Parts: sequence; structure tokens; C-alpha cells
Amino acid sequence: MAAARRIPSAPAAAQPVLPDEILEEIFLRLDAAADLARASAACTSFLRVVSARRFLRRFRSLHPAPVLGVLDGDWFGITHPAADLFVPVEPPHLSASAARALARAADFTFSFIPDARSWWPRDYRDGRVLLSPRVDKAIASDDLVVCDPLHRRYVRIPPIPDDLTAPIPPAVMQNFQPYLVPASEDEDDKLKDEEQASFRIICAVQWGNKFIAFFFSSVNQKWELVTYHSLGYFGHLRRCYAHGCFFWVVDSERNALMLDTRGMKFSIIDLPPNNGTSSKGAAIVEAGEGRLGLLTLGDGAIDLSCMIWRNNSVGAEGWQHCKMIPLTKDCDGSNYDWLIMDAAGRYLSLMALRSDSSKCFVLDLKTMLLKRLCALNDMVVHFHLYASFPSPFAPPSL
Amino acid sequence: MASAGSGDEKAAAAAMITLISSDNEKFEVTEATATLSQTIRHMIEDGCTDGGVPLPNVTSKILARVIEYCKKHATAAAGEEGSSSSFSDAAFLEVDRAFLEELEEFDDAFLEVDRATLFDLILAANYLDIKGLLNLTCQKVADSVKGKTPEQIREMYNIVNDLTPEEEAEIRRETQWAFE
Repeated sequence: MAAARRIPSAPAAAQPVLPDEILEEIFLRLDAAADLARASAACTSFLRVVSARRFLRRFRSLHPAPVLGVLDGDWFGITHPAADLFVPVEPPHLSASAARALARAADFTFSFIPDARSWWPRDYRDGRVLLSPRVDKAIASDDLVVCDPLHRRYVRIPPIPDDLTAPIPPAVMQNFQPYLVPASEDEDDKLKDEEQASFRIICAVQWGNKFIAFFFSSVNQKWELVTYHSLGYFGHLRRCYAHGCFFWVVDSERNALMLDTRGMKFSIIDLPPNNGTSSKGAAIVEAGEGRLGLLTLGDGAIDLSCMIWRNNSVGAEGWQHCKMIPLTKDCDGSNYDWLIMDAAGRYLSLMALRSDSSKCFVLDLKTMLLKRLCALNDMVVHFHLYASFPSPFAPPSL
Repeated sequence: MASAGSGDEKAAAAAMITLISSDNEKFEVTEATATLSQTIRHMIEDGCTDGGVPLPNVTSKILARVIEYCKKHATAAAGEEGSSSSFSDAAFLEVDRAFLEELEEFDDAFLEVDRATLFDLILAANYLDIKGLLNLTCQKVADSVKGKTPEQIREMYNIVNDLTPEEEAEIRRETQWAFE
């Protein structure tokens, strides 16, 4: 019946028909997934082009996934269990309706994982949430689960073998920090990665004056002890990721620890003198044009310092102050107390605190525009930025 | 330095190529202009351009516009090479900027065509493999679609809705967020 209603798509006279390969080129030049969705509802040939897996892979590799909300990092694992940990972006932000749709479609209570109440989210990247056991649960402390809350899939990560953790006291191992390694920026790798849905995890732990990292790849399902670096006491550490390297910025210090995820080698890089890294946070990011950027909070502004990025040949003399991005005031004209939270790809998230409320803002590092994302309840002390394509443009990540 | 550069240009300018449209009209263009098309560049490299290059997919009306685009952008490419080789001072950057602005204005004016012509230009740019022109024309269509509803897109491009009501309802359900 349905087929009988079809009208042959004879276009009006004098207008040539564009073949699929050209429609693909046109649709790749749309910026927003919403435009893609509306175009696909115009006719069968548009729908065919937009739905093709190859096209969607190309679109995702050319356009950054939009920020749809934040995932309550539940820093101490104490938020009441089974809470919905996703806070969607609010209007007037353009992604607000896509964010609400994600909140409806995905399960951020992780009820699809057995014993869901035992886990809490530690990191988010590329559609995957990394969870570890809550402190008070009797699961081995280095157990990890990676899940896709939109497609309700999960995988359990085999524990780190005893022979690798043997020298480290169990009490120290409990304080390990697990991170997802972001998908490679290299387009070919990215396409391949999505095809295979492979991912990598790093577990970092501080032990005395040592910094140790364990590395897991979903491809060979094996843990490796990478290496360790000895550099006195680290204090409070923040993790950043840029140019294929993790960085841990040490509060009030003039250097940062760097782990190259390709060579799996630690090194130390110098930060600019008087750089203003403090308990309010700092972030190392990709600053465009092959530069490494350091973002710190100054007086009523974010300071961006940059240096040309050359692997392993980095020194403080290369840093230059590039930009000041003014911070917004609250609607009544008073200042917020700002904290840098999380840098993910081209986005930097910040928490803006008032005595009675807090809000999440995001800085787009490409456009340098600072936008309000959502209000946060006072239980939220730490969060992960949640960037993802809305359904149906997000493929299963596991 | 500068005189050597313009000498090379003259040498390139001397080599002329004849392009023949589908309605058998002949166009004489410089090799520098013609080789913006990768398709023609390969034909020149293979030495099969004697007696003209027949382009059975491109009408004279469209070919004239394509050549207009290539002439302008071939000059721009030559200008860029000349300036970046030996000069990098502020005065030259200023000239570059003025030139780029002029090029942008040219592109904007170039795109002031009806829809059928725009589609013909896309098809010609694709067939002749002229990256800049394909990008320019595809971007123009993409920009016109941004923020539009499916109904508006159909009306703009005379598209017949050949989706079944079931298919359309399913897309709308899956992408409800794009319509809010």
C-alpha cells in the first residue's frame, strides 16, 4: 500500500538532478545535526544520502560533536544512588532540544549494568562513560566498566593483573584515577576506530613520589604497566588532553607532567612563569594552528598562553600570552566565582559559583565564545562535559 | 626576482588550450586557467589536448561561467605565489588582503544565479574536478538549507515529497529534537 502511494520524483523542468555524491558534498557543509535531520525529511534521495553510514562517518569527522550537557562526576561517589547524573543543556542554548532528547533516550542511571548502584562515573569521552565501584562497595577497587548510555551497552574491563600492581599498597590503589583516552584526531584512525569501536583506558596512581600509569587497550584486552615518573609530591592533579598527550597540571607549579599516549612515555614540560595555575584550575588545550595552549583564570578573564607544539622539545621561553577572554557577570551585574572544570576537545567547561547557586559555562576554543549551558544543583562539585551527536546520528560506541 | 616570476607567467600564458562545449562552441583559454580543472590538467599531462578538449557534459552557457571563475582564480593563484616568494612585509600583506577581499566579492557576485544555473555549475565543477568551484557552489546550496523546514526545502528546490507517510512519521519521531 505504502509503495503504491509513491510518486516518481520527477523534478520540475529545467532543474538538473544532483547525483548522490554531490548531495553528500552539500550535506557535509551543513553545520548542525538539526539541519541534517530536517533535510533528510525532505525526500527519499536526501534520506538515503543522510542515512548512509559512510556519509555519517564523514560528517562526524568534519564536525565536532555538540555539547549536550554535563555528567555529574559525583567526585566522592556519594550522590544518592540511581540518581540521573545527566544535566542537559538549557534554552536558549541551540542544543537544548537535542539535549532533552538525549536525556529521554539514554539511561544515565546505568540501570542496564548489573548492580547499577555500585558504580559511579569517572570519565566521559566519545559516547562512552567509564565507571568504577563506589568506595563503600565490596567490589575489587580496580574493577572498571565502560558503557554507552544511549545504546544501553556495557563491557567489563578485566582487572589489572596482580603482578603489575604487586608493588603498590592496596590502600594507594584505591585512589587511582581512570581516564578514557580520547579517539585519535587523525581522520583515518577515527574512521577505523568507529568501525571497530575500540577504546583505550589509562589508570594513574600516585604512590609516594612516584606517578604510575596502567594502560588498557580494548583491542588486545591487556593491561600494561607503562612506566613511572618520579617528581616529588604532586598535590592536587588535574588531567588535560591535547595533541595525543595527557597532561597533569600541578597546582601552583611551573611545570606539568606529560604522558604521550603513542609512545607511552612520561616527560615534564615547563609552564610559563607566573602562570596563575591555582586551585581554581588550569587547562592545557589544543589552541589551533598546531599550538599548545594554557588556560588560567585571571582577574575577570580567562588568560590564554600559547606555544608552538613540537613533541618533547618544549621550554618555558616558547610561551606567549595570546588572549584574554572576558568572563560574564551574573544578570544582576555581580561577579561569579569561577572554576575551570574539564577540557574536552575544542571545549572548556567552567563552573560559575554564587553563594546560592552554580552554573555551568562552556568556552568554545575555536570561536572563543563563552556560553551558559545549564544550572547545577548544589550537590554537583565535579562534572564531565558531555559532547555527543544526537540520536540517530550517534552510532553505538561499544 | 619579480621579473623572473612574471617571465614564467608569460611562458605559461603562451600555451593556449581550446575547450569545446556540448553545443560545439570553442573557447580559447590559457593553460594556467584550464589547469584549475584537475580533469583537464590530467589530459594535458597525457598530451591529449591537440585539436581541443571536448566537454560533452557542459553547455557553452555554463562553460563560459566556469571559465570566468577559473580566469579570476588562476590570476589569484599566480598573485599569491609571486607575493609569498620574496615579500612578506606589511605593505604586501595589505595588497594580499585587498586582493582576497576582491576575490570574495567576485565569488559572491558569481553566485548570484538562478537555481538551475547553480546546479549546472555544481555538475560542471564536479565533472571538471575544480575543487574551489565545487566547494563554493555546494556551500551556497548548504547555506540556503540551514534552518529551513523540510517543506521549505522542498519548495525552494522543487522537490517532490516521495516519502511514504509512514517513513516521514518515523523520521519525525526519530529527530523530533530538530523540529522543536
